[in-house]
Amino acid sequence: MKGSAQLRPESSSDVVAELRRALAERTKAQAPASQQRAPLSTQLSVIDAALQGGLPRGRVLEIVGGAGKMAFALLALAAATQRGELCAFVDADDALDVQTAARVGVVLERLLWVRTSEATPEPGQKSSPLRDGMKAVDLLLGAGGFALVILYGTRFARGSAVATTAWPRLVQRCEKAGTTLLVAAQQPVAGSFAAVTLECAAGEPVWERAPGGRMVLNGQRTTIEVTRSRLGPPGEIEELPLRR
Amino acid sequence: MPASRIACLLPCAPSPDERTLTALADAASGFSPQVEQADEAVYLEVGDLGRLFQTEEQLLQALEGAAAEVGVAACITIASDKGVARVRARGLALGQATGRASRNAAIVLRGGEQAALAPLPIATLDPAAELRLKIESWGLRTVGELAGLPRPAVVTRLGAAGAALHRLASGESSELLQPTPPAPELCEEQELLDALENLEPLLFVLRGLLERLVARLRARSQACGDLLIRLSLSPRGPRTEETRRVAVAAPTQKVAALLELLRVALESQPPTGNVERIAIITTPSRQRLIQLDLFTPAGPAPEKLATTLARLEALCGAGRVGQPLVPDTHIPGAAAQVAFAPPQRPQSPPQQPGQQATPSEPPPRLLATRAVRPAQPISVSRRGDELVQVVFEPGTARRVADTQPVRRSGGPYRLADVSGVRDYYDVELVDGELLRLFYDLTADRWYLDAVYD
Repeated sequence: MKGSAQLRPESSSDVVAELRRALAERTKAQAPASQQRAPLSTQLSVIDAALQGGLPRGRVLEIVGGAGKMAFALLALAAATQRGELCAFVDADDALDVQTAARVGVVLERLLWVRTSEATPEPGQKSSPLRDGMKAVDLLLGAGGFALVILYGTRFARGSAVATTAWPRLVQRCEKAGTTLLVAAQQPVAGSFAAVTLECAAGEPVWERAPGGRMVLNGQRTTIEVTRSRLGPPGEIEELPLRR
Repeated sequence: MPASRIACLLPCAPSPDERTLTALADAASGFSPQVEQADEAVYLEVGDLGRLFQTEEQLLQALEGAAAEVGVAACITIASDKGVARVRARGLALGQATGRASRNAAIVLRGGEQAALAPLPIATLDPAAELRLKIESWGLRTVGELAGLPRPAVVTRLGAAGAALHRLASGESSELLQPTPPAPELCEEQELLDALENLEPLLFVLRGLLERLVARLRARSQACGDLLIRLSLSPRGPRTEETRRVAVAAPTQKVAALLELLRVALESQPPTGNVERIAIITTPSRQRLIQLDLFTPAGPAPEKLATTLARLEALCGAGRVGQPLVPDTHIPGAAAQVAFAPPQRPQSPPQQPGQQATPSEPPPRLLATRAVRPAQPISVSRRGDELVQVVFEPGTARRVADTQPVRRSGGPYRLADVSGVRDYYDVELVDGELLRLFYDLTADRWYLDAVYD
């Protein structure tokens, strides 16, 4: 056309390549928040490798079993808060080990501690630690801006009707907000709604004799196994020696 | 330097109360820092607003809009002098009252003061009762008729007060603007025709009050801080007045966020009777400015965070939502909680020129515990310093079996603080579980303090 400057591609394949590139950029821009940021590293090499770099953003994960859940949760919180992320610990048992959290390196100013153990049930409803915890998680996901939310409890009942209907909503909200939800419980509660299930197994404690003859507990060997994963093959085991 | 021009905002309703005048002063402060709140009107210096408003008519319309936003019907005039502006405004108010004025705003041009005031009744000069009787007994009805009298004669018959009145009537008043500081608290209140018992209509009324409050704050370039709601209840109930304090963690000008905080507060603590009158009081705060960082992930918006924290507190109870804090004590498992206020920027240590950044080390892998709060009373069998058996009290929800034999135990290590003296033990049960127990020497009791997790 007269008066207009046009770029004339040398061949139709250039046009196609240009269109593909533009579409790819547009698709990336419209991808949910969860896909645009790197996973949350736990600083545990085997677990990070098994989960493709760390805890995936915008997904629900579970860690169950014996001793090691609190230690793992604190390690994940330390890694995230030291990178400047905001995190939350929804505590159904009022059990957070604050002193160890500080020693491990959790930046406490970036951690919101929500103690739901004395939550008041709604009229006509019985108190349920899992339901109260999920309500708190739902509120946090609505606010947005939290990279990692940990829901911790030992009294979560498996298979509750409320939980079954609530999990799909939480999964969707996690994805939209780009928040990783890690549920730490004695037994699986999220079930198939969790992208990854980790299982802790307590090993031998480390006892040492102190001067004077007294025995002192100096640590414990634990293992964390990826028992279920949608991100890769399960079965990887991280040896986690914990010391005092 | 631009010549002085004074705007007068006079509430149309007679005998305005303090709240009305304060609201007008707040609206006026959005135009000029020189605002005087007097007994019956608000004055502000507008002579230097030429760069913002091309004509005084535009300024007048803006002032009318600002007064309407704060919910006050006001007569507004602009003149070269405070007294002239006031008298002209009173004339408009009288005209409004009698239905003769078509608009409640006017501009008195420089040099046209006497002509502008001439047709107004003597009452607009607000003379003392005795003076007014005398003037009316002379057959004078308008300001212009008074201004037409020779001044020496007026002074002789009416004295200094008459002289001041004559100067005002002639448009020669020289009252100075005396700016007053803004009120430290803002209050919006409303009396209800019918007492309200449900939350939704109450929130509807609160929304209107909040909108007026925020309009006043916006004019002051300030944000809403903590709120106090005062509810006057129907006298049928045991109490006649209740208050609710709502903490606003992030001062804001957003009505929706403030309304949500009020909703959470009223849902968690509903009024005990029907509400007849509502008042909202706030202390203005500076709006928090947030400097975002290219390299730090953005957290939740402050208003959203404040609303979420309020909702979480309503769910969990007061004092159970916040940032954890390590208290100054040697007692293991101790914890405290303070208000959650995340830092805006990452606090990384400054680097010296040429210094390489230290690589981030992996966090130490430490033995952590699942605290038992409050500590659970238990019974323990021992053989000397060695613990043999732990018996959990019946009814504790966390144990399957009530009695657990001990495989190995460590300790004791004695710790003391204000709560007493304790001997702590680490215990390995035969099923492999690791516990931390303590013996309280003051209470002579054993307690389960934590489970190693």
